[in-house]
Amino acid sequence: MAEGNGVFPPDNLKAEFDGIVARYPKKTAALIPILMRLQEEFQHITTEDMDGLAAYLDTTPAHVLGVVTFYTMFSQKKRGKHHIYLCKTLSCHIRGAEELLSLFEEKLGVKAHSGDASGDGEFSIDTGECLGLCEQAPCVLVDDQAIGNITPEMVDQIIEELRG
Amino acid sequence: MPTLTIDGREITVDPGTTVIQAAEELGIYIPRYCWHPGLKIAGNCRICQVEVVNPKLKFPCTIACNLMCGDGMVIETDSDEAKKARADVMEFLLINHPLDCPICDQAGECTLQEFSYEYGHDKSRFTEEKVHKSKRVQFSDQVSFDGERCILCTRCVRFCRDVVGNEELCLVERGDHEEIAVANGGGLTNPYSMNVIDLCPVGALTSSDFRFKSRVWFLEETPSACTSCARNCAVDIGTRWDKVMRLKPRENEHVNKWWMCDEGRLNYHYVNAADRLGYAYVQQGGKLVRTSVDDAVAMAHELIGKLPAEKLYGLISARLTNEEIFLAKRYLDQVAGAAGVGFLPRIGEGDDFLISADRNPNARGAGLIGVSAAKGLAADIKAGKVKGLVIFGDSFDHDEELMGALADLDFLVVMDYRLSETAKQADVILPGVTFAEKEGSITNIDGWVSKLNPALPPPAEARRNLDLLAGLLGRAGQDVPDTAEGVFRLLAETVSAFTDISYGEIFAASRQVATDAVVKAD
Amino acid sequence: MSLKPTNILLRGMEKESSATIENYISEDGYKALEKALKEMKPEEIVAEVAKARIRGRGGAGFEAGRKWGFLPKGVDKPVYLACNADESEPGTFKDRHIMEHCPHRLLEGCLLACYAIGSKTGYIYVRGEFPGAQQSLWRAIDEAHEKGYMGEKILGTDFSCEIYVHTGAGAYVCGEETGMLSSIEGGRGHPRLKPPFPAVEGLFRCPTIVNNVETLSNVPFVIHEGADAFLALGTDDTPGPKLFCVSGHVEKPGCYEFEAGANLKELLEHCGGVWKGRKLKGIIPGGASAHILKPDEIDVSMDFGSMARAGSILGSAGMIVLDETTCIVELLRNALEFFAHESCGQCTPCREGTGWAKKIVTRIEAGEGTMEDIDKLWEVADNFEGMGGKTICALADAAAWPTKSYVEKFRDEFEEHVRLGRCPMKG
Ligand SMILES: Cc1cc2nc3c(=O)[nH]c(=O)nc-3n(C[C@H](O)[C@H](O)[C@H](O)COP(=O)(O)O)c2cc1C
Ligand code: SF4
Ligand code: SF4
Ligand code: SF4
Ligand code: FES
Repeated sequence: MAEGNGVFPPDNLKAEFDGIVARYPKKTAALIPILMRLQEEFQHITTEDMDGLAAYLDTTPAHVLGVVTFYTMFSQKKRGKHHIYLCKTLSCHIRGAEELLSLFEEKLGVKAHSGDASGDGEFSIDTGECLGLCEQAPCVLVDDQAIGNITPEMVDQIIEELRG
Repeated sequence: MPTLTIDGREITVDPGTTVIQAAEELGIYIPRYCWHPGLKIAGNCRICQVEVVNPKLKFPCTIACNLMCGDGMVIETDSDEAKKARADVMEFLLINHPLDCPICDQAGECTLQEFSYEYGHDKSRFTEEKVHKSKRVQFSDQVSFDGERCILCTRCVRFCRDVVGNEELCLVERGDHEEIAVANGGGLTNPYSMNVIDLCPVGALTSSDFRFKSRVWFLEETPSACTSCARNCAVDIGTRWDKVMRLKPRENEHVNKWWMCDEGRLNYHYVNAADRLGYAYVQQGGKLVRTSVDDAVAMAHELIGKLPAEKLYGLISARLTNEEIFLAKRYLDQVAGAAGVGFLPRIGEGDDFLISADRNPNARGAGLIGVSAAKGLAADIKAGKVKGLVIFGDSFDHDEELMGALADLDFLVVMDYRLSETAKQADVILPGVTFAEKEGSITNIDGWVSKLNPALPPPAEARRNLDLLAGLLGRAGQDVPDTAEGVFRLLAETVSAFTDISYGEIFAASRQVATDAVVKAD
Repeated sequence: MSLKPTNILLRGMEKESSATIENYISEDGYKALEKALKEMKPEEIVAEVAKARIRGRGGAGFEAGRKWGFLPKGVDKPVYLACNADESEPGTFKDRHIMEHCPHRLLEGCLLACYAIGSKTGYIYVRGEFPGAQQSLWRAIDEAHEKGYMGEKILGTDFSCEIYVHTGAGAYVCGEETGMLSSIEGGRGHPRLKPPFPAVEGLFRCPTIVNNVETLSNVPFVIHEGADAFLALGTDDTPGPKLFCVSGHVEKPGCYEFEAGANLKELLEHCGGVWKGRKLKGIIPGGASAHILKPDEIDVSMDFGSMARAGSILGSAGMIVLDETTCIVELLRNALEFFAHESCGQCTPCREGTGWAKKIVTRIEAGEGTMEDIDKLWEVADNFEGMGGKTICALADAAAWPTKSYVEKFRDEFEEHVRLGRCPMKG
């Protein structure tokens, strides 16, 4: 288990997960919503959780692995507490996303797509495909917050605010 | 029933037939990687391009494997359009492929190699760096995986998921980084896993058992059947240098479709083993002494004849063929007049797919011929009711009770293919053969009759079991046919269940046939 | 003036409280549902929607009413509604606006659709990158339950219905309707072979209607005001209101609502024109998949038919404006990075071809290409295009169209990269 108590689902999430399963005629359909919650809660999807989840949803660990590796929002390596998706697709690209990426990487001391989190475990960053915030290009999605119209000058401030 | 035209030839097919199948009925082979008659349609490789002749279509080509035959449809499999579409797909298939055929196990059986020659462009325009993927991954002790050779047809994934019902293989990542994988810390564990090797159209999944033992084009293949359980899966025995190199399932719609279990597939090493009996032996002063087979047969007959018939018991293995069982029983009943005959039951774990709990391949045949499971033999020997034992084609090395009882016998005669611990106790040992060295028929649990064919000659002086049995009968003046076919005819005349089956039918079609009497009603 | 503003899909959006049920009800919200449940039979809803000819706003422009009519009759299986809110076509953000600002309109559309098609369950598949939209919808679902517009025996009738939000997790291909179904079922987002079409065999192997957020958000208006009111808007080819997403090198990017068929050139002017007073290089009119239009090609009506005649697509109506400083080769590299990254990997031509094309254009951009590479790039794209013949879904076509059109229309720029051995736009 992510937090190592060997039970799936973890006690604090059991009721929520049971609720998700109840939305569907087939248990496996709850897989992606539950994985999203696990990712959010623990910043990564562990092998133990995949095994536990497979048993919980009557599927196989291989099936779960196939799903975890298909979707870019899941990570088997632990991400930072705040994970930043920086959009690099067309509208953001032509409005300076690349420059922003280097700035973020430099200030956070962590590379996109390295799978690593910053030394203090606070941050990780990936470029993402179009975030659907193109009217606010360039933009990032941090946790569940969209931040748009970012200028290089704003980068420090964004990081500070996230540090809280 | 739709009627359509493929390459100018009309055909009427059952509703729901796909174009790839209809073409096959006409003898037109459309190349395929992902499509397999035993798997769900995936339509992902896209190589089975055909042209649907219809001036309204901007893109007239589509895949034949997911195209349902429609009435009035006109299909061209070899038009310029179809050829170009196929060549385009072929080019895409090859760009990231390592093209390491000279060191690939699949070479000679690889449809990528084959089709690229037939349907590809002349030369590669791909000058970029190829995508690198996992190499030499052990999915299990038996199956290894090369991600760069894999063309992602998902046959292996679909087999495990849909046929076996255990989704142990999956696709990971996506796009041109997509690969086949097992779960972290997991592996390919299902009892049918090695079928993925046969299914794999390229050399991505290879058998650790077979790997590099021989290039496939040196193998000789003999159609036969697996004798490791009562299913009798149809197989091809691959041989080289007088050794069995591999067993592969052979399609049989009634018995095993396209599949076989791993246990059966790997259960051939005993054919090549060092403990094979190449010679006849007799017990002399506590030692086994080699003798000629004819002398051994004579001595066995003599020993058997000396004992009062009511003290004689015959074990006829249900691993033997119908013909062998028939002759063995005839000898024991009519010549020796044995008080009893029976076979050693072998029960293991079965499932609801192929593996039968009955590990004797021919228990059904034995039963039809009148040999049933032996009961209380050890006790009978201990009680002195049985003083002479003849074992045709079997051993019980691990049965302590029976092994312990052997000392109480006046004599023991064994015909077998190896020098078992049981055989070592025998007064006379007749050197017989394994399934790989003989011809004959076996009857599976559902009554389907399959044919074994000799892939190898008997080792050294060993003889076909049928010859040894005929030798014994000959000693008593009984002439029996010297071919399996001849014996089968005799059997068919005698045992009603086999009356309507002609040996030629079993042989010619490599198909099992059955009569109502043989096939279970359900 | 061919820009005719409408105030239907994003009505009330300027208000802080636009997403609340109180606000929605104050704007005649849920009146259509009440009318439908109390006065109309499901077939009548289907007929009205069919009459309105709402063309699918997800990109393909298929008429919603016709699609609903494909449901097999007399099948003893549940029917599902799957609302496509994956909105991952680059340059597109209209559905997000609806979900964040007017979630009840979408919910009412979903409920009407469910009633019409005989479904008791609808899933709204919202991409994982839209947490705000997901929260907005869940809140709205709770509100609708409280007010009796959702759940058991809605408004005291025999109609019961639940709508759930289902989250995606980062995959463009899940916007393809059958990829979305695979994803809802808890699998990799692999698009499925068609036939069978979702209306016959979709979610959980049951008949399923898939519609885009904007498509469904039109339904309350059609039922409340009648199909004729809808037909009075837009063009004959594409009736009704339409959301346009404007981004890129433009002064006032944003989501704009006009009658369908708005003139692209006027729309650009309405948005303040190209930013920084620069000249226009081109417009990608229908999301990244669309064929690029040059400045002399933008005097065109933004409806499905006119865009097709102009050699492009209306698609998701995500318009990306490009100024004169844009390097087309770089742009294509960026687009192909996207498509290669998003190819689900099933079909050989798409899996291998998008990656190949990306590698070729990357080399050309770096100044390492040859003239033959330019032709090869076009041919590779041509070879993986094929409207369902070469591939299972249209993602491959979506990658082929920009590739071919950029090369065709800006060939000189590609050649310049080859000749100079570097990008001419970057000093
Ligand atoms: C690669 C690809 C991506 C797509 N993405 C979306 C999307 O994000 N949202 C959407 O509504 N439709 C998308 N579509 C179109 C859908 O397949 C489908 O046509 C649509 O959801 C049907 O709804 P409609 O008829 O209401 O437009 C996509 C299609 C393809 C081929
Ligand atoms: S390993 Fe073989 S069978 Fe499996 S997907 Fe790859 S090529 Fe196909
Ligand atoms: S199922 Fe039985 S007959 Fe078939 S391969 Fe396995 S052991 Fe042999
Ligand atoms: S066309 Fe591409 S994205 Fe669509 S199913 Fe095939 S491989 Fe997947
Ligand atoms: S055999 Fe038809 S697509 Fe693979």
